[in-house]
Amino acid sequence: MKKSLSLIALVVVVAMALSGCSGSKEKAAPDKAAQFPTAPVSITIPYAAGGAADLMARVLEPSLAKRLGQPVVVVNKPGGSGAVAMLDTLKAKADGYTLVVASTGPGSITPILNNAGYTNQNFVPVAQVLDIPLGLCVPNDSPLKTVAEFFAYAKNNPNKVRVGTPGATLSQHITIQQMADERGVRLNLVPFNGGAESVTALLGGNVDAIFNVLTELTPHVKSGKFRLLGVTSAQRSSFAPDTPTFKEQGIDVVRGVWYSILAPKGTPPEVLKKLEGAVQESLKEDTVKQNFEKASLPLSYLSGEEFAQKWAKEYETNTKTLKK
Amino acid sequence: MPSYVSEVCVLVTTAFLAYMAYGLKLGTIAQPGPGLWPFLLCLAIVALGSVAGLTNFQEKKRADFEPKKMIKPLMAAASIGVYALAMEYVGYTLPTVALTIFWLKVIGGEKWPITLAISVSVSALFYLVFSYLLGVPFPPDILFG
Amino acid sequence: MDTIALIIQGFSVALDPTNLMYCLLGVIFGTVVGVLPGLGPTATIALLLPITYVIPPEAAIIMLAGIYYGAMYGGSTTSILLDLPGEAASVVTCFDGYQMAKQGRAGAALGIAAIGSFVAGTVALVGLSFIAPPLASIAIKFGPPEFFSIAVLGLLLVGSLSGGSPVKGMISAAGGLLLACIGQDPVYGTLRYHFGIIELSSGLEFAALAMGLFGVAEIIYNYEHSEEGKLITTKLTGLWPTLRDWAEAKWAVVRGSLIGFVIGVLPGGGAVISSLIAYAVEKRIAKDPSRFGQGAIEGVAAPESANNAAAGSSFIPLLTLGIPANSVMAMMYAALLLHGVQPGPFMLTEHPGLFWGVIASMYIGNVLLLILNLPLVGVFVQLLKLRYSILAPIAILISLVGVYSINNSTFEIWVILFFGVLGYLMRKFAYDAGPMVLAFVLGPIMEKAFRQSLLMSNGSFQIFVERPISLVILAAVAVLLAVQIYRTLAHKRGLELPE
Repeated sequence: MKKSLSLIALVVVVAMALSGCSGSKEKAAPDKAAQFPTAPVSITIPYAAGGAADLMARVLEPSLAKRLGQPVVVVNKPGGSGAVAMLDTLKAKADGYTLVVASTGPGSITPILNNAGYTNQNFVPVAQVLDIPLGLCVPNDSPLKTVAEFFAYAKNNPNKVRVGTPGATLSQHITIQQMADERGVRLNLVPFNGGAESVTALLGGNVDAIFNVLTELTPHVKSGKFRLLGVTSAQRSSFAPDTPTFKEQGIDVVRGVWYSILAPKGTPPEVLKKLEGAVQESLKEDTVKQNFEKASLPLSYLSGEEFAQKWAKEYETNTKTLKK
Repeated sequence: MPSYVSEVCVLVTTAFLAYMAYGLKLGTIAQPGPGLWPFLLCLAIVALGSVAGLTNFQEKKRADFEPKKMIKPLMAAASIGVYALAMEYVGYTLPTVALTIFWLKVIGGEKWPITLAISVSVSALFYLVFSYLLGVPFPPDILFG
Repeated sequence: MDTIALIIQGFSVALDPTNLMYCLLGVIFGTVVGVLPGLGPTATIALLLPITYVIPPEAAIIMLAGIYYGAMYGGSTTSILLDLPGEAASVVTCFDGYQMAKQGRAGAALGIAAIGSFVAGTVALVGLSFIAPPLASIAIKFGPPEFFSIAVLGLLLVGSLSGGSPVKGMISAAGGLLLACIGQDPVYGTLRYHFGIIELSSGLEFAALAMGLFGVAEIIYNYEHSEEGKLITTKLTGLWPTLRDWAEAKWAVVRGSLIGFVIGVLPGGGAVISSLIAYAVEKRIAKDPSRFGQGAIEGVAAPESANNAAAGSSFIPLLTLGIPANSVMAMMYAALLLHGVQPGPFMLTEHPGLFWGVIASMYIGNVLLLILNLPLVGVFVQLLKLRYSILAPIAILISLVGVYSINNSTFEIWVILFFGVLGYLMRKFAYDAGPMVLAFVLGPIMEKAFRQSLLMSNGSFQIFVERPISLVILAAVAVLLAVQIYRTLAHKRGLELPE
């Protein structure tokens, strides 16, 4: 039974490859918003394939297509810390046929740091899909047990404690820098190129701690190599139920790396509602939920409006702190 | 053309890039700024470039620049630029057929039947492989929507 | 003892007809994308990722792995035939491979590349089966100071590879390092040299730069002499490596495989550095080093074996520690996660069938690749029988569509054009483009590691010499440098030194 199923799948693979599961960019003339959608909807990913944004879009794709009654095409456009994809989306008509997945970096850091040619004002959110909390990890043989102990130790040993982050322009780096500055702690912050590199650095003993998204930490916490000192979510995360949040430990920091679907500003409200509904319904589907669970990606749905408020607030804070 | 022309170009470009690097903030050795590394590289190129330029000048070396011979290379380069522009506006099909015809007929001097046959078949084959098999999205095509 | 039983269990998984089919499909797909420059295995795996959701995890990973090593296998083809290196790991192959093709020995070059890849793949797999965990635990000790030291070593080797004037070679290398600065500063993300162009803010694409400086420049340059009718002298001398070729290359294959396997474990840049080191070792121990760059078969065999062995050993960090060492491994990681398999230390115990099945499938895949590729050598070599006026447009179209497919953007066509013209001018002024391309790859590794090291030590340079691995590598650099300077000086005084 299992074998015949996978043989069928094999046939499907070959057929799909030959017939072209390709992304031809045909677009019908913009119909009335009420009839949306009458042509394939494309979702641009600002990163190369394989990351959280890409996984998210590809897990959602079949289910969204079913709900919209039109194919959904996922296009990867990496480059410029996400700015290339964001600007590309703005070039398209604001008709709901061209969407982009943004996350904290391209959404609220790149445009402020790099003068990228767009701001949060140019987009309207469809919905937030993921919100991945951050975690502070030390090696398992470290004597440090809580976030407070960590900061106390670092305060007594200025310029001695090395903390790895996945990149200097990411929320991870900026958040721990802010926490350290507020407490007058001098850390040797070492930015790496992505989460995997910073995890490797902690495994190899090249840094003393890392501050990273939870998804990349939990496997090593489970295997007993790392100890998770705290998590920056509002409530305890289901992926690390035994670890107290920063808030529980008396540090008022709630941060996460969000992943949301955005449309260019000016997209008709009816179209946005339809897309928002399709995303919301898809996220209730069991297979979709299971796939996110399997990939250790914590679902966190926010409606377009809810997310717009959250984003505006974050954008404002970042503008103040990053432009000093 | 005297060979040292190339080093003069290198030196002028590098001086400009060094100026840009300086503007990016050099920082200190303990806390290097984003401009330090490129600035040091520029210094190295200026030093090496001066040596190479002087050697060429002393030895009176010349580079082979015959305008007549360079017509085809120039046409080839220009056609690639036109191709990039055209593809952005009218998609894959027309520019690719046009480019291959230009290279085969005008630059290569092939006969028309061979030119057309190869141009059309190669363009079609590449479209098949890249667009269908590998799913590369080309810009919207004016011929095939 | 136990390992043997597990390998046998693995073979029973890999030889299951369905899995075998996926393995075949994977290596065929891999060969296709490997031969086409530009679109690499990462993009192809991304494309097929959604399809793998519906098939069992063993079959999925077997197919994706097949695409990866299949692509590494096919990657040398355009480098040898058309001087078009689509990926960093095959740049070194161009040096002697393309020269061999020009001398009508493309068949020998492609043949030795295929055989070398097969031997290397096998060496890597044996290593993967028996010494993966200890090797992985050494590899993670490599921190920023060690990466800086090894990048310095790499750069020194680049300098010694260059033919012609050493000063010009160094200018070319420094230029490559400077080109690598375009885009975001690797530490703070400050934009450098982007001239207001948004695409440049993520830096230049390697494939566009390398294919421009090598292949496109070569084509443009050749047209300068088209009137004289002296284009490629394609008198094909045999389709296969001769016994003499094989005798010359066999130890290069073995040495290349071992170097590739060990250095390939290092995350990021491992494949490129290993192909460089393998080439430099061959050149140094050769009886007549002047043959290198003129079509020496060892100059193809060693780097090709090294980069294929490196492809195999780059699985080690993923399978034993759960760390993806490059973007392809990141895709594998994603694929495993979606099947509910957590890559890492528990994979061996929790999913032994999957772990050993994939390893066994790689043995089988390697055999399939050899069977698939040897007849293809004959087909590819026929390409060179085409008149240059027909071959050139085909080659140029492969390059243009190939670079377009990297980011689905016509901007890359402008980049390849720019570097095509630059490479053409460099040739006219007797500058070697090889050091520029290789330095471009090493530059970011070097600058980032240097600055990270200083951030780690809060500005103290001692960090480079107080760590044993870094110290050893830097000592090797110092010795090599001293030997080189001594030789140059001795040469200047007219003393002939015995090699």
